[in-house]
Amino acid sequence: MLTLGRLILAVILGLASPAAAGGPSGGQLIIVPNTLNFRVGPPPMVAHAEISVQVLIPGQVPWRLTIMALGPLRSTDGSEIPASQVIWKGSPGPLFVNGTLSANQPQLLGKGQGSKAGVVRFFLKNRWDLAEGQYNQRLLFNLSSP
Amino acid sequence: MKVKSILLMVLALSLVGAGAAWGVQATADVKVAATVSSSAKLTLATSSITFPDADPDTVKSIPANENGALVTAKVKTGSSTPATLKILAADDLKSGSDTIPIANVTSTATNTSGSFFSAGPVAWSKTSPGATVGQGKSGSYTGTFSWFLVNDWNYATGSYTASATYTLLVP
Repeated sequence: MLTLGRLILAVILGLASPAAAGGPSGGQLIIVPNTLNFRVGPPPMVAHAEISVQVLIPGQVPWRLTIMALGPLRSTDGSEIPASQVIWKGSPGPLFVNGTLSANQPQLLGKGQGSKAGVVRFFLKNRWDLAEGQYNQRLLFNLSSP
Repeated sequence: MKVKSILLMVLALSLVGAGAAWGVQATADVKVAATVSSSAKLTLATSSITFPDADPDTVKSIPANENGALVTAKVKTGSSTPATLKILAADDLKSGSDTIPIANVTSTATNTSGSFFSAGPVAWSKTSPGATVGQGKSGSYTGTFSWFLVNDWNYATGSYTASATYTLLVP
């Protein structure tokens, strides 16, 4: 029974955990949630999803945050949605900027100094020629500081 | 000469490495999931069509007054499951006890945007699921419909009516 309880707790913690990573010099990037879910209905409805971004860096050290898709969104039957069909709006500006997702090409999402937090809203352009299906891909956020 | 080339390359790599040196480096991996649901929209510029009286000797096929009606079909469907547009008549054309077979009505189509509508002529049917007048993958399509009635001296005089339904199906 105790084992089952621990197992359930572990699953709950796993679902709630943010995408986070620490750097070798103490910088940390926390993104919540760790999955973007788009529900795409008939156009002109626009599918959107939101994440919060937290950059934790000691002092006033400058930083730069980029985002990159690891390829187009792919469905199980082989259909694709180009990464460029996803745009985002970052806030607060000018700390976090707006942009268009690119596959295998990092795009600037924000830059600043010291610890900051923001929100990024992603929008998937909706078109009638999208094939029905369940699509997946991964986004890589990269925080760097000199 | 070969040794010199190798040395130059090593120096270049060293410079690139120095430029990319950052004190803090952190990455985060986020999954993207998109669920695209199937959907369909169909619009037809007219909800009724009328065939005027005509002399069978001179007009073998009577065009409807509404010919060239604009039709729009918008569909989202799976990549291997094309959407279909069907026309199903409830019954034959009837005037009292007199009938004209519904298969004597045909339709043709032109595609003005994309390629979805069948050029035809397609004979109407009262047998489910009806006659197919369009088929295609996800997309937004526009075209025009025209309808024709086979003219025949054997038709009894009268005013005939029938109803039919266009259905855009996404599997």
